[in-house]
Amino acid sequence: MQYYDTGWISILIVLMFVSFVLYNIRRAKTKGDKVYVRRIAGLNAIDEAIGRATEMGRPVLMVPGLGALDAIAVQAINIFGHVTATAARFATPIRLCCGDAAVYTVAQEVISEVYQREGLSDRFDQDSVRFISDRQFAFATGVSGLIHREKVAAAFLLGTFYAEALIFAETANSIGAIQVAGSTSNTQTPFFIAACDYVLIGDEFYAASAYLSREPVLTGALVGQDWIKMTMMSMVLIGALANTFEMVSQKQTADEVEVVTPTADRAGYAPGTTIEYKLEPLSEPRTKRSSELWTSRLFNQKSAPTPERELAEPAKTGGGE
Amino acid sequence: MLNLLAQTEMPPFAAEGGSDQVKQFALYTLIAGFLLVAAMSFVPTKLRRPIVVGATFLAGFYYVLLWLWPKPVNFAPEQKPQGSEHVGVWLTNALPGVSSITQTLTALLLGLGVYSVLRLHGTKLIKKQKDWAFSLVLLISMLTMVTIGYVDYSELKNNPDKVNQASWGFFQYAKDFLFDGMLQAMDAAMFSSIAFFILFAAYRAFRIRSIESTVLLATALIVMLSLMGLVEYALSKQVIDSITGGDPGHFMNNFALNQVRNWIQTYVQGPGILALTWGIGIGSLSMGLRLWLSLEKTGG
Amino acid sequence: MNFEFAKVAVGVVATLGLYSVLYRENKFYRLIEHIYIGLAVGFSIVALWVETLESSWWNQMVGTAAVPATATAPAQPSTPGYYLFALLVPIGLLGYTVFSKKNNWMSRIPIGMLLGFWGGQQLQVFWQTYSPQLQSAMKPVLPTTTSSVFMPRSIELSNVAVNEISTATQLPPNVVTDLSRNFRLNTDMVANFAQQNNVSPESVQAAMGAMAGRVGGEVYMSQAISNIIFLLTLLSVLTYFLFSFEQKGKFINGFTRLGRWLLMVGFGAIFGSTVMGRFALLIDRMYFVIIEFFQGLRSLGG
Repeated sequence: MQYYDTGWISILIVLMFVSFVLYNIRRAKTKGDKVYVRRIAGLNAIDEAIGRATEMGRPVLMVPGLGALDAIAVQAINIFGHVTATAARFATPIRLCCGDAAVYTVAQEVISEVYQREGLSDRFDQDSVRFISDRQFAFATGVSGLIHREKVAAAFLLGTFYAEALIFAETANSIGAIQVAGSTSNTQTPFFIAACDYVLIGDEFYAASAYLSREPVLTGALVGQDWIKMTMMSMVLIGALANTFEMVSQKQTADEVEVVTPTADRAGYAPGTTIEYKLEPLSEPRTKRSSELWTSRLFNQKSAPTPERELAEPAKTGGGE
Repeated sequence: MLNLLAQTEMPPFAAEGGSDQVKQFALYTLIAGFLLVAAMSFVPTKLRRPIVVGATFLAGFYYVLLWLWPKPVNFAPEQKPQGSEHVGVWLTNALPGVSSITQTLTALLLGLGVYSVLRLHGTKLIKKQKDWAFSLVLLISMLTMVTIGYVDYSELKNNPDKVNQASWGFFQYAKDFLFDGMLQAMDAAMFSSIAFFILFAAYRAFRIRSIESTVLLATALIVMLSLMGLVEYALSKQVIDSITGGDPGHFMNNFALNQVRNWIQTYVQGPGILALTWGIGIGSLSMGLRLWLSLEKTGG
Repeated sequence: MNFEFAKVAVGVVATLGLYSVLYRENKFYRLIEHIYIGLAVGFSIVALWVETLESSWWNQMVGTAAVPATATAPAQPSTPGYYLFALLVPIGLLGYTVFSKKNNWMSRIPIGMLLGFWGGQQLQVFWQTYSPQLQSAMKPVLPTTTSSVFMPRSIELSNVAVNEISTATQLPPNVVTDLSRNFRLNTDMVANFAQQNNVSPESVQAAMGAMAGRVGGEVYMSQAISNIIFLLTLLSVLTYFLFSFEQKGKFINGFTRLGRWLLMVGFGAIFGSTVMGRFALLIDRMYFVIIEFFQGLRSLGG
């Protein structure tokens, strides 16, 4: 039996996924804004929440979570950019509290740019975007103190959250603020569902900025993501059916045994080592194990060592990492 | 002779560790870096975006190369790479260095966060705004922690014996008091207070009558009951044993409360969360691509 | 005053201060909050050098000199200093231009690099992360045997199989056959069985393992049904999260609604297990406040 080399199959699949995204971004750019994006319930609440804050003359709180600077944080700040643009027009004060200094840097830049773009630079207060602490519960204490003292009218909790999520959500609720939450942390989502008015679940969070901005780069990428998802769904379905067929209709009659010459006694093989696979017949045929199925062989490569490689000089001075 | 050999083995842009030479080179590099930064303020507007895009691309390109460049399989450290393997081995060996770069850059940005704190509370203090006294408390405790923390660290570094409590001096006691007695205790207090918030949230959620929240809370209830030893014992052990007559091979054992919980966690929670994780992973892939190639307007 | 008790006492005061916000925001809470944030930011500044910059920057930049062998420790070879790491300081400090009107574009360089590293990494790790999950989701949906609905407790062993297990575990063949009639025993029953047959419990355990292995390779009816539910949940939730298609039609609508409900069941399970964990923490904290504090007080008094 020949083994499939997963080296190429993994690269092929990821490159295919990458091309789905890039192709759809291109397509969206030429097609204009005709790309359809399904309605996301939590997002319609944004304007409602800001409207309420304006009526009450109280600030809007935004928290991009505790995570380090990554796509989730950037995404959260992008959505906060939209919130801020609306808030700026109504002169509603904002508070953006960060738990990571790099995220704070990006937030500071994006938010000040939003005010500039709206032509309202004079309304921007540098201190409205603040760094609290990068220690989880010190951050939670600081933010909940701020929620209480400034009586925020709306709280947007979007990003990576851990256990502190519920402190924010419940504190905001206790003073009657509208909460819109969204987290990619699956363990926190149930608590947001229980405590918040509107929740973005899973990658609704990623779809959000495409839905809000209708920028072709984002909507196109969203279509690409759907393509990837559908490909993965069909892979699961086809794989499950193939495995079922193989397990039900075929029996394993021999065990595969690895023969290493000369016998290797550790992970790195000495030069000149060969590895062969030998079939040893079984006393009774049995149902195939999952590792013996075609899909498993497709995904897991058994690699033999490259033979005949020169040894490097021993005792290298200073070359090690 | 041996020394010469060591010289030739030195990787590019490196010098003998801990030597005066390496410190000198580092200083020159630092000065050159600052000169470069100063020169950058004269960069014409047109070139600004390409510089940022280029830096972003190069950073991401390392990981893309690491992913795409063929790597020798079963490569033992004492073997010598040949041909294109040199690049693959170099890329793999550079990984700790690259993650150091990320950590260092992130760490250097912490100063901005500290600046934000100082600015906010300093202004309050100077202008005697509302709650200025609390800002003063904050600044004092911050300063105390920094001083004691660094003195303690340098004392420990010069005198490793001080790790034992028996030979602690003032700064070790002070550090322990601030860190273990206060900071950690406060962490634990806030963490445990979540239990109260959960009560509030669950109470409210139970009152909301939608099918979804009912489904959520019914499952939550099953899981909670199965995790309460006494309830689990009363419901599962007693009831099921009365049916099976204590036979552990009886198929009714599959319906014990903890088995049901296990089943829900494996066959409903598992795939549900898996689907979410995939969605998020795909989103990260697509976003990673957009950030690396600077396709988006914001963030890089 | 006793140092340990002073530590506990200040911890209790802080805990009460932080809990007081549950009733309402007050000056006591505000005081503790500000001390807390001050200490936390101070600690981050200390950790900045001690935990990050020293090891990931300074030591990389200047390397370490060789350490000769001592009586207790072997010799350490020197590591080279990569002096280009010095460039990271000006690059990192570019982030501080964010407040400048004229040069704030420069702050995008370190940020761009961080995001670039993150983005490139996503391409590299995607398949590593998701291929095992993808593979484990490909579950067989039909039973391979109809002998039992649930995983059985007994197994019909052929003579060959009995001999195989017998040689592997050194149990007599008749004991193996005996065990095969009910091989799902708990610890007490294993001990009983071993005593009755005058064999070691370990060998009985090993034989049980071998039998379970033979049975476990099969897909039983209950397992197949569970697998179908697994796939149904996975696919329906994934379908719910398709954004660029209008979800219309009876079938798709029903399917995505099913997905949402199953997702809620999953969230409920997470909710339940987390709640139990959180209450354990609260009880632990109450123990600290009440028991440790009052014990400390008592020992102070007497």
